[in-house]
Amino acid sequence: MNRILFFLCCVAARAGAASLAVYPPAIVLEAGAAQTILVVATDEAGVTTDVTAQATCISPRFAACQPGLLQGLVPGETTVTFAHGDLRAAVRVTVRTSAPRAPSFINDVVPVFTRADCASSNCHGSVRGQMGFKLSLFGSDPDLDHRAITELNGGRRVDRTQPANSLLLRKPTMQVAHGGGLRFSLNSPEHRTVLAWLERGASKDQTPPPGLTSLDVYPPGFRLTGLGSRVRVVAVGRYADGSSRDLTPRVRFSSNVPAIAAVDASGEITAETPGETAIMVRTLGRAAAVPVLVVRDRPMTGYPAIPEANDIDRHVFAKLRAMNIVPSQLASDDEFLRRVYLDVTGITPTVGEIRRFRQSPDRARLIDELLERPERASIWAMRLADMFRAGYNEAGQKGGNAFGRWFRDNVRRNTPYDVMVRQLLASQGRHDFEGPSNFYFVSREIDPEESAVNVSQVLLGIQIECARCHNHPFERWSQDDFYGFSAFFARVERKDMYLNNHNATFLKNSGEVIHPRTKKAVPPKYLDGPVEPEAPGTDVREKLAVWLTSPQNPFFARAAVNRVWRFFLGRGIVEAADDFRVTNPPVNEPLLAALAEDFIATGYDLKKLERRILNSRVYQLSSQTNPTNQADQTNYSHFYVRRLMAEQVIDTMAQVTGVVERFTSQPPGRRAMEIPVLPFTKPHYMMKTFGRSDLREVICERDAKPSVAQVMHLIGGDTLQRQITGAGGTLDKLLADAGVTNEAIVQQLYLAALTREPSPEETRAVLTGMTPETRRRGFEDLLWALFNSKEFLFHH
Amino acid sequence: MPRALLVLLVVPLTAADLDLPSPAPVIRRMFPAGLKRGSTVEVEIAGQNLDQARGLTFSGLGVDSVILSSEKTKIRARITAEPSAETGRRDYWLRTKNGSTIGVITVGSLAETNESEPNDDWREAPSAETPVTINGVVGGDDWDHFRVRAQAGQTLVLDCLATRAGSRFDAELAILDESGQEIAWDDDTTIFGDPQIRHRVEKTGTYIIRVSSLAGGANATYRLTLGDVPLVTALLPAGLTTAHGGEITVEGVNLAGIDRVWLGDKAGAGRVLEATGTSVRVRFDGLGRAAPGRYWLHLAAGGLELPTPLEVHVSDLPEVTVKSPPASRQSALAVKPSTVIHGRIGAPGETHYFRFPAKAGHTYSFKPESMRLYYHLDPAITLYDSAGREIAFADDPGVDDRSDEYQIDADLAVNIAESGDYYLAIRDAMHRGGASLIYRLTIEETLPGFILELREPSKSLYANQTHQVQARVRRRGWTQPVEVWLEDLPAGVTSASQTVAPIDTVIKDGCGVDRRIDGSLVWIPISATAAQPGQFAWRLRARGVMNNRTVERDAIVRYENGATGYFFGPIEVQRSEITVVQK
Repeated sequence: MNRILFFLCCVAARAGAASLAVYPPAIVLEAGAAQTILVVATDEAGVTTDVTAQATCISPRFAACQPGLLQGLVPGETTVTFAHGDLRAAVRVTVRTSAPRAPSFINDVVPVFTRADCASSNCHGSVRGQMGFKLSLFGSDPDLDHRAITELNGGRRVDRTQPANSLLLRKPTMQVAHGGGLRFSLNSPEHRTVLAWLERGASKDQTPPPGLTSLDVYPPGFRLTGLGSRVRVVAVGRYADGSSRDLTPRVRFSSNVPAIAAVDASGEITAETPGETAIMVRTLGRAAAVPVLVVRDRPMTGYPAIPEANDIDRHVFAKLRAMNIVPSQLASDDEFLRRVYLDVTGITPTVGEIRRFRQSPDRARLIDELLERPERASIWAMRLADMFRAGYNEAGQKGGNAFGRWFRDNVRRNTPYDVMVRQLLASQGRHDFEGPSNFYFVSREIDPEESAVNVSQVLLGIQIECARCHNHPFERWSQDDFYGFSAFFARVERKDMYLNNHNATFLKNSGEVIHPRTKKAVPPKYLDGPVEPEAPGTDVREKLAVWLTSPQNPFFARAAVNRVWRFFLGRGIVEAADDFRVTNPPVNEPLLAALAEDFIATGYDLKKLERRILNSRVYQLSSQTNPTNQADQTNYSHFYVRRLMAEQVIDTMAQVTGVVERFTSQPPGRRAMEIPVLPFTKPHYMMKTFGRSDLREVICERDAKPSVAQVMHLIGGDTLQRQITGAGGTLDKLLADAGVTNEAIVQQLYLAALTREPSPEETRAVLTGMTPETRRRGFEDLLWALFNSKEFLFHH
Repeated sequence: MPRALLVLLVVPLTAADLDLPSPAPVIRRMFPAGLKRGSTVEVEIAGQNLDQARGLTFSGLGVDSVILSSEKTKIRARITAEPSAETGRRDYWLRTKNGSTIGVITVGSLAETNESEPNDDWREAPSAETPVTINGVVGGDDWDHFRVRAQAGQTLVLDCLATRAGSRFDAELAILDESGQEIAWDDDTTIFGDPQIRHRVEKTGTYIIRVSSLAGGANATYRLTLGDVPLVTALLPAGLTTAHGGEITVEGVNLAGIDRVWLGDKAGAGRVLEATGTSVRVRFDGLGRAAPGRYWLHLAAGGLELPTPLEVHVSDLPEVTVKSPPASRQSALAVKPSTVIHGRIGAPGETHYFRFPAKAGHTYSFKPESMRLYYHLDPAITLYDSAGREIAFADDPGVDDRSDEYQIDADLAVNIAESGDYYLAIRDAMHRGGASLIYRLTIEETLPGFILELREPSKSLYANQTHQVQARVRRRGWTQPVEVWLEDLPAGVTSASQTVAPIDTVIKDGCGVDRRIDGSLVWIPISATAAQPGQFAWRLRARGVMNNRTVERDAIVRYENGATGYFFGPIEVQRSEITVVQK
C-alpha cells in the first residue's frame, strides 16, 4: 500500500530539482466519461503544491482537458502533457469504447447514500437504523439496502408510478421533513442518479455488475506546507472486469482529525494546524486513507547531518527531516546504560556494572552481552505472557506457570517467533502440563468466535470483531470472513481431565460454525482469502498456522515487529498495536516495512530484531527534547518517557536496597519479573496497582498510565516501607562499614537507583542536618525520595 | 467452566441419627509417609478420632509397628520395616476402639532423612547427601530447598512421591544453579500432580533442589527421591501374562547396571537380557504361580534397588505388543477376542487400528488403560464396522469423580448387531504422541454383567443407631435390576436388601446442571439396635438375573477418597469392617 513516506521519500530525493507530477499516474476511461485529475508541483526545496487549477494541458484528439478534469472523447491511446511554468508532466490515457449502461443499483445508487452520509453509523447505517429505515454501514451490503429501500414498510419509500415523488428522494432533498436535513439537492448528480434508477423500475441489477476490487486514492500521501494550503484527493475505482472509474464525485471523504486537516465533500483538503492525520475515503464498504502531514514552514535550512547506525535511523530521520524536526542528541552513556538494562534484563545495572561499563563504554558490546543474560528470557516471557494472556481463567496459576515457562524456555533457546506461533495455533494438551495448550483457553469456555478474535488481534494485529454482527465498517472484513475464520477453530474444545479443576484443550471429532444470517455451516476461510476445505482426519489449524506465519502473509510479520518496536520505543508504529487498519495507518510505513522484511529474512529471530533496534541511534536518543521536537509524540525524534513496568520498579527497588521482596506463593529471592502468574486470591498490591493483573483479564495491553493509587502507595505503601526500612540490606551494610563516608553512601544509593552520581547540591541537601543518631533515618528518607522520584519511576 | 465437585453424597435418610458425628478415625497425614526397609522410624499420624488406638496393621510381609501414644488428633507410633520387606506402597489399617480406617505407607530402599525448617531461602539450603529419600512437608508459603553436589555427565533424578504416596499435595520441583537461576522445573509428570525431573548435569558443581507448591499445607507431605538412581518411566508391554510370562522393555534413566528384576510377592523373577542407560530388556519365563492382578516390578543394580517400583499387570489373557504402528484400517492388526494389546502412540496424530471378528448378539468390552497406569495417553477409542462406519466412540466415560479408575480412561461395552469383522481404533484424545503415551488395551468378549463397589472399607455405628452404607452398581451390558445386600453382619446389626433399577443415577454438579453418572448409587440401611460393641468383618454382595443367567458379585472394596488422597482403586486386601460403638 502506498503511504506518505514513500511520497515524502520521493520528494526528498527530488529536493533541489523542481518537478511536476500528475495523478492518477495512468488513466483508463470510457469515451464520454471524465476523470478528476491532480497536478502537483514540487519546488527546489521539496515543497509540494497543488497546481491543478494553474496547470495547462496539451489535449490530444482523443481526450479533452478542463481544469481538474480530463474527458475521454473517442477510443484510443494517447499521452496527455501538463505544463506548469517550465515544468512538464505526462500521463498515459486510454479511452475505451463506451457501452450504454443502465444505472446500477450497486455501483451507482448505493454510493450515493454513503457519500451523502445516510449510511454512516450515526444515521441509517447504525445497528438499528434510523426511524425505521436501516441501511448497511457505508454500503457494505447492497442486498440489504435494496430490500430496505424497495420492500420494507410496504415499499413506501419508492413510488413506481411517480418516481420523482418517492420518499427516497423527497426526504434527502428536504421536500418533506427529514431529521437528517438536506443530504443532496434537487437535480444534483446524486438526485439525478437515484431518479434515473427509480425511473427504470428500482430494480436490483439484472446481473451483478463487476465488483469493486480496489479503491485507489491519490496522492498516496501529502505534505501540506503552510496553514491554509490545499490539495485535492482523487479517487479511482478498479473493478473486477478490469475497468476503472473516477469515483471522486461518488465517495465520502472525512478527516481523522479535522483540526489538523479538514476535507470537504469534493475531496479538497485544507491545512489547519501542524500535525499528522489521514483523510478517509469510503464507498461500497471499502475504505482507503491518504496520510496528510501539515507543516507550518518551508523546509529548514541548515538541517544538521544526523549519523545513522542502521536503516531504522534512515527511515525515522527521513521523516523527521520532512517534518522539520531535528532529533534529540544521543543519550548519555549513563542514560543509555539504565535504559538498555531495563529493557533487556528488566532491572537497572548494579553499581559494579555501571563502573565496569564506564571503563569501556562500548554500547554495541554491552547490547551483545545483555542479550545473552538469563534475565532476558524472564522479561520476554512476561511480555509474551501478557500478550497471550497466560494464566487466564481456570488455567490459573498452574496453567499460567506452564505457559509462562514455555515462553521463557523458548526465548532462552531463541526459538523463531513463527515456530512458536505455529505450535500455539496447533496446540492441544493438558493446560497444567503442556504450556502451549493454554493458548486457546482465554475465555470462560473455548469458543471458535473468541478464538478467531484473539488470533486475529494478537497475531495479526487485526480487529475483526465488528464483523461478528455486520460487515466491518472501515475494513474489508465481512461476516463471511469472520465466521469463515472462526470455522478454523470449530473443533477446538475444552475438557476436564482426571481432576475437576484440571483442564485440557483438544480437537473434537466434529464441530461447525453457523453463519447467523444464512443459518448454514461455514467452511474455514482465510481472512481476505480462499476457503480451506477440511479433509477428514486432519487438523485444519495446521494449514492456518502455515498461512498465518507465511512470509507472504501481509499481516503477521508487521504485527510482530510493531509489538517488538513498541516494547522498546514505547509507542507502536501502528498504535494501538492490535489495531492495524486502513483508517489507522502506520506513522512510518517504510520503517514498518523494513522491520518486517528483515524479521522475515532473519527467520523471525526475535533476538536479531531486538539487537537491531537497540543498536539504532533512534533507540539511543536522549529523552531531552529540543525546540523542534518537543511536541513530537509519534515519530521517535526523542526517547519517549514512560512509566516502568510494575516488575521493573519492584525488582529495581529490591536490588537497590538489598532487601528481598516476597510475593505470595513464590519462594524468597524470586524476582517479580520471574512470576508468570500471581494468585488472584492474594495479589501483590504494588504489582496490581502498577498495572500487573492477577489474572490476565485484558487482552494484550497493560495499563501503563500513572495513577493516584500509585502515588499514594509510593508515599505510604507497605512495599516501599518494607524496602527502605528492611534489615540486613545494603543500607545496613554500608552503615556498619566505618570506612564508608556519608558522601559515599549518598553516591552509592544514587548510582544504584538512578544510574548517576548525585550533584553536589543533592549531596549537600541529603547530608544537611544529618547526625549520627539520625543517620539511618536520613538515608531511609533518601531512599524514599529516590524511589518516589520521576527519574526512578520512569523509563527515560 | 469450573467443574466444582459434583454433589454425590445427598443421602436420602434424614433421621437424626445421621447427624451424629462419626466416631471413626480419620487420617489426614502420616509423617514421614514411609521408611527405608531395614529401619525403624517414629511416625506421627494426624487426624481426628485417633484416641484409643489399638494398632496399625500393614499389608504384605515385613512391616510392623508399636503405638507409642494416641490422642484425639495425633498418634505416635514406631514402625519397623524388616530388611526383607518389599519396597513399594502398601496399605495399613488403623484401628481404634471406635472404628478403623485405611492409609498408605511407602517402603523405600534408599537412606532417608526428614527436612527441617528453616530452608525457605535457597541461599541457605541445607546440604543433602545423595542418593537419598527426603521426607518433607510443604506448608503454606513454604519452600523446601536442598543443596546437592552433582558431577558432569550424571543424570540427576528427582522423583517426588506425593499423590502416589497417599497425600493430596500438588508439588512442584525445580533445580537451581549456584546463582539461583532455575535450570529445570516440573509441576506435573504423573497424573494427580507428582513432579519428576530427569536432569543431565552439564557442569560439576552444587545445585539447589526446590520442592514447592501453589497450595501447601500441614498435610502436604511428600517423599523426594534424589540422586543418580535408577528411575523407570515406562514398561512396554505394560503387563505380563500368567501363561507365557513375556519380554518387557523397561525404559528410564540410570538403568545401565540393572542385573536383577523380579515381581513382588514372590510372583516370579525375570532374566535381564540387555541393560543400557535408558532401557532394560527382561524376560519372564512363565508366571504360573502368579494370580492375575497387579504386582510391583522391582529392579536392582547390585545393591542399589530401584527406589520407586512400578506396578505391572499380570493377566491370564493372550497378549500382543504392537511392534510397528497399525496406522490405518487397511494395516489393522488382527486380534481375537479376548486379547490384551500393548502399544505406544509414538507420534502426534497417530492412531492404532485392530481388527477382530465379532458375533451378532454378543457383547464385547473395550478397555484401554493408560492414565490409570500413570502413563499420559488420554485414550479415545472408536469402533467401526467392516465398512468403516462408526459404531461407537468413547473418550471420558464419567463425570462424577475423576479420581476414580473408571473415570480416567475410556471404557466401552457394545452389543454387536451383525456378525463380521470390526475395527477398534485407539488414539490420544488430544492427538498427542510421545514416549509416555503407552496403553494396555483389553478387547474382550464378555457376558452382560455388573460391577458392585463399596467406597467405605470401614464403618462405625453407635449402638442403637440407624445409618446407611453407600454402594454403586456399574452395568456393563446389563439391563436388569440388581439386588444389593449386606451379609456376615454381627449379631444385633440388621439391614435390608435394596433393589437397584437399571437406570443411571443423575446428580447435580456444582453449577446445578444434571449429570448422568456411570451406574447407580444405592444406599443400604443398617441398624445396630441390639448389637454389642466390637469390630467385625462384613460383606457387601449383589445378585441379578438376565437372560435366565444369575450373576452374583462380591463388592470391590475401594479406597475411601480423602484418607489416601487421590489414590484410587481396590484396596490391597479386600476386606470391609464394621465397628459398633457404645454411645
